[in-house]
Amino acid sequence: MTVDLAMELCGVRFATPVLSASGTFGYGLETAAVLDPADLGGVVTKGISPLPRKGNPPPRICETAAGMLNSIGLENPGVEWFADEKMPPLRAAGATVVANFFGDDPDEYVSCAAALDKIDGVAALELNISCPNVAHGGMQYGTDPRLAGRLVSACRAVTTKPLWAKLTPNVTDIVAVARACVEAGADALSLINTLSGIGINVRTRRPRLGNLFGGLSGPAIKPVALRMVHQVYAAGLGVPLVGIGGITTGEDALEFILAGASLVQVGTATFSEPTAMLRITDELRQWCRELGAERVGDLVGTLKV
Amino acid sequence: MSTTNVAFVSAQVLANEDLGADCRLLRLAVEPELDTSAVRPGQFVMVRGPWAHHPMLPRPFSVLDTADGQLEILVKVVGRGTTLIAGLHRGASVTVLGPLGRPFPPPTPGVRDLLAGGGAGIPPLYLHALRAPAGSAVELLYGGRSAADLVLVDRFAAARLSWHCCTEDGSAGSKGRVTDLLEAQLDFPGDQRVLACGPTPMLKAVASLCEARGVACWISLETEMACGIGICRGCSVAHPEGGWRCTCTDGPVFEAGEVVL
Ligand SMILES: Cc1cc2nc3c(=O)[nH]c(=O)nc-3n(C[C@H](O)[C@H](O)[C@H](O)COP(=O)(O)OP(=O)(O)OC[C@H]3O[C@@H](n4cnc5c(N)ncnc54)[C@H](O)[C@@H]3O)c2cc1C
Ligand SMILES: Cc1cc2nc3c(=O)[nH]c(=O)nc-3n(C[C@H](O)[C@H](O)[C@H](O)COP(=O)(O)O)c2cc1C
Ligand code: FES
Repeated sequence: MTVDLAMELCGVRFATPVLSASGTFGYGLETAAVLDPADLGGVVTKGISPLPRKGNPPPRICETAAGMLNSIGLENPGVEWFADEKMPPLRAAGATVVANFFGDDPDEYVSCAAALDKIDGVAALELNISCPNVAHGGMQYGTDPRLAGRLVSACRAVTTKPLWAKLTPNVTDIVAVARACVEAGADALSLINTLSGIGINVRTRRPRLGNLFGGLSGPAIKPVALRMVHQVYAAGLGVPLVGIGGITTGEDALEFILAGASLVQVGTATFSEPTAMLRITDELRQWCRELGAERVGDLVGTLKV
Repeated sequence: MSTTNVAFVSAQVLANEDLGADCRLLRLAVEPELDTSAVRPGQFVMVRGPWAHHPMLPRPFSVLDTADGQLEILVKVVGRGTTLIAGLHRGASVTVLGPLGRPFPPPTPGVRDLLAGGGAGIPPLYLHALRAPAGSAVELLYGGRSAADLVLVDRFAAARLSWHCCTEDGSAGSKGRVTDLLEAQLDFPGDQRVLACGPTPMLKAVASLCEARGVACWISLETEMACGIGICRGCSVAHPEGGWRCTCTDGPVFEAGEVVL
């Protein structure tokens, strides 16, 4: 039985539902020696800001049980550099590119969205309202439905490309933020970003991260991510969902799809296994066969509760 | 860094030998997917064993040798990941990503290389000495707390390397630290440079000694790493003029002035 893994989201075709997660796959070509980005559903870029950004002091990562904390701090050389240096080779490679972006304040978000809108080959924009690492960036927008909505509608006004809003799990009511983003014009919702956490070195009695706070990712967060995808899907907001959090196998990806995700993103798993996304895609295809689904799209949101 | 030679392979443990001082030597079958002839001294590989998610991330190890198309690494046990990797039996499968990172500069005719290594920092220096063309002037300086820490010295002798050692307790070689050995060598009249690998405090001492004596110095750095290949930005070290360098792709070998230790 052949299985059709392609998905269409807001007019953009993704060859498979498995994409890289922002910040865990660089700009898509760093691992070209072992993985052709054109074999992925898409490449979600590392977070892009209008101006270059330095990031947080080291140590920036520490491993935890079945996961890791990071406080990279959204280091990136800015949107102009992205357009000039990274997009030409990505276009040449035939990758489907989703540009993840953020800003320090609403004006920065808007100017970044406007700049990305003009870049040929950027298929969609993913608005990061959820980064827990930066004192001024993100956190407050993603945790307050009103601010989240205002930010989405401001960015909505400057782009005709599909606009995805990426949600933070560090909230009490994920559905409230999701609804505000959709009402403000988001075409899709990505969830989840990392969970806020800290680690302590008991010998030195100092934080394990230079920034004290970091974001938890990896298999440890999968149940939380699945729960949130389920809740938002069940709320019936009428936009497609992109499931993220701790996916390391095709079975994990399928869990997200059954819970309501149309696409999934793989992050931390790539660090342990640079070709993980390809294996996950193959395993997902096997699962579709096993469940008798000719199109992966037929399985979206088919969780029985 | 050129990543064109980088391969991600499933490899088998061919041997696991006890070297003492909590160190094991692992020999891995990585050919043909990983071309060991492309490995340069100072480069490293990311290694992960057949366990589920704890630890989840691979661990970086310098390449010790590539004899017979196999890859050798030295594993010093310091935590959970190295305990598990050091405990792998012959026949176990691991994944190996590499070769990664910027190597040491190759030997230059007419320039003497002083290689200063402490503890488990010896592997890349050993490979540099081993690969140096016949007639190159290469001196290996090796320091540890006591004689038992000086693993691999039998190999130095077998390979007829020129080496000197020291220990803090005087149980082997001269009494003192590797910086003392180095200082004694720096009076050499000709052109020379220093390549160092070991704990960061040692690298700091070596770098400031070289700066004071006006000798070029290259160091191999260790930091936390998640990916090893430039996609996570978790391995940053500060550049003296601001900004960061990535230990995995800009390093791990840096010229001493390139990074703030
Ligand atoms: C480029 C590079 C090359 C390396 N080459 C080698 C090599 O050839 N042989 C080798 O044995 N190791 C090498 N290392 C170090 C090795 O990767 C770490 O020791 C290992 O990742 C620790 O993993 P763990 O899970 O055992 O310890 P963790 O649980 O991660 O850490 C346990 C404790 O050990 C400390 N620690 C971490 N690294 C070291 C270290 N190097 N020495 C002492 N304490 C440490 C940690 O801070 C922590 O307190 C290299 C590292 C890098 C970046
Ligand atoms: C090192 C690292 C950097 C990240 N950088 C970003 C980023 O720049 N923008 C963003 O929206 N999410 C970022 N994330 C979050 C991931 O995209 C993803 O939402 C999260 O890691 C959960 O997925 P995972 O468990 O598969 O890793 C980052 C995650 C990690 C581990
Ligand atoms: S270890 Fe990931 S960028 Fe260096």
